[in-house]
Amino acid sequence: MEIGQFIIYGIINGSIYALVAVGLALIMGIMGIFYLAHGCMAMIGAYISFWLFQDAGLDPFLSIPLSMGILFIIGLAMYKGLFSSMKAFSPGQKIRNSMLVSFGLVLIIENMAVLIWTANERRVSTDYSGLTFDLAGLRVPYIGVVTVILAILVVFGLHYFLKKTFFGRSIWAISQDYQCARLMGINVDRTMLIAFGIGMSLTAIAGAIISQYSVSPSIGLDWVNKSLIIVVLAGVGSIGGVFYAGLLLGVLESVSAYFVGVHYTGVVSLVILLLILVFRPQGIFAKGAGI
Amino acid sequence: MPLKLKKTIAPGLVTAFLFCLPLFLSGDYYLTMVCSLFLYVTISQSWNLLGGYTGQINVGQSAFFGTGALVARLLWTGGLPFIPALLCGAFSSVLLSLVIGIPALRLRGHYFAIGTLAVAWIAFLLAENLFPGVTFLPGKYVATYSLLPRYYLYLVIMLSTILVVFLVVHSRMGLAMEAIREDEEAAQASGVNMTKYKVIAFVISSFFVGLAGGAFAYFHVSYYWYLPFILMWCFEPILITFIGGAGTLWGPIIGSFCYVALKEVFALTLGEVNVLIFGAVFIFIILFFPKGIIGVPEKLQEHLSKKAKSRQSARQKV
Repeated sequence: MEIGQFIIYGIINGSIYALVAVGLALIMGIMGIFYLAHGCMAMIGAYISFWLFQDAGLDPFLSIPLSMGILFIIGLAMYKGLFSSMKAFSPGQKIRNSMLVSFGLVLIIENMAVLIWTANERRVSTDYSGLTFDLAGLRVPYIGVVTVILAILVVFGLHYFLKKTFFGRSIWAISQDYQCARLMGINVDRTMLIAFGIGMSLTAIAGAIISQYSVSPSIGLDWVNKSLIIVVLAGVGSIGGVFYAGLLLGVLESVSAYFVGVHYTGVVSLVILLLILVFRPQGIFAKGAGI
Repeated sequence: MPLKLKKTIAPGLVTAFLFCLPLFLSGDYYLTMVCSLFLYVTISQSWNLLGGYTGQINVGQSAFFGTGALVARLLWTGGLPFIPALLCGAFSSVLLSLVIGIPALRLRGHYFAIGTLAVAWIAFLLAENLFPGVTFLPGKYVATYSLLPRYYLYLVIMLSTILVVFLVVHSRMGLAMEAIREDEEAAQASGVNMTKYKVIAFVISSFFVGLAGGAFAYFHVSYYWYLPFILMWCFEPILITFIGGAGTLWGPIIGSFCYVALKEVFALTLGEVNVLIFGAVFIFIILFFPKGIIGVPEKLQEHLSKKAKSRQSARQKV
């Protein structure tokens, strides 16, 4: 029975992972920007939710639209200032430059967060924070259920948005051939700009949930680590696979916590990442080759 | 390669100067700073061989640095004389690079970067959990502790790194590495054994990083076991190499100099926000001077000649 409880928490954690990673799947997998500051953006989102809760008494779930808007604008400014000059680069050069620039961003954002919010660990605790209900003898927190539903909605919503709408398909077209997409009459600059903004604003949803567990300025690299694992597991370029990859990682981690102890769960997930990279670099949930 | 006497004069003088430097420097503060400068030159120059010349962005330096430090420290405090312990550390880091490198170097683009980052992360988590706490030097070592042998150890390691990278780069091997960086398919099509040269670059690079790790273990009286494994050791060499100019011999040297100087100045004047400003400076360099500081004169020249040209054409129009 105890292992069942671990699996429940694994599914909930996995949904949070998927929520954080889905923005990176768009930015890295499709737009080809190696964005190390992704976890830091989730951290900012979490702090915005925390702020709104503490000062305005706004429920973290209700603060999502507002923090999404703020992160969208930050994303636009970031893309305009830092990444727009890279759009015509070759993929290799783009990866290298964007990795370096976003690492600089990590340094800046982390230290700014320490200055603004101090290095202490914070947490939002609402009236319903610790509430659970009973499911066949297992405890299920209410927040967890909301998380799973949100993850499904966001991941598959983005998936269909990219597959079915004109805007979504033009993002794909640009990622495949920048020059050709421009000749087909796509406004390349505006499309990439908004796509980046969308990727950023999605981290706000994850941030609102992270704020209910624990947030501190140094969590950025941890979250980008998890997101990278999930993007690779799902297959670079796959969006729908992010949800399954997140669940898989979450469950594997919590089950391995049961068997090898909490300290080594990070090692387990990273070893899985290495195995996937060596034996199936196109990911397990992608049909075609990643790149 | 015939040694040209003229060209060896300047490096020879600089080397001689560095060997005599402790005579002029008073105080441990400056000596320690110069030591950390040497350390940064070593790790960034060895990163440069793989990242700058061969084009493989290795984000896992800390795993090799840490392995070198861990093995050297364990053997040395265990009673082995220091030099064999140092070499054992370097060779175990080479061993690690062979175990990891051969599968990892098949990966391309961001897969290689993610893979090596994962290796560094695993190494850090393992070190943190398997070796909790702080390592102290035994009392008899502390009693004879002096900064001078440490200084010379760092110096010798740095000079040999620069020399080896120089020799490799100016050989056929170096040409093959640069060909791989420019275009993997084209290099392979013209008969360059890609895996071989990538692995050679990886092995040389991790050997010297391992040595640097051993020197780190020799330098410090006490530190947390996981300290040489922290991810900063992955990112610092990359930052330094790109600040100076990747794929050039002088780049990492200039980069380390600027890095240590900037860090010192910012830390003294700006206090807590120094890393923040540093990140901004770094982004500025990457965006506007993609060839690093070493490319600044070239870029200025280009800019000036462009200006002159536009002035000329304007005059012609008139």
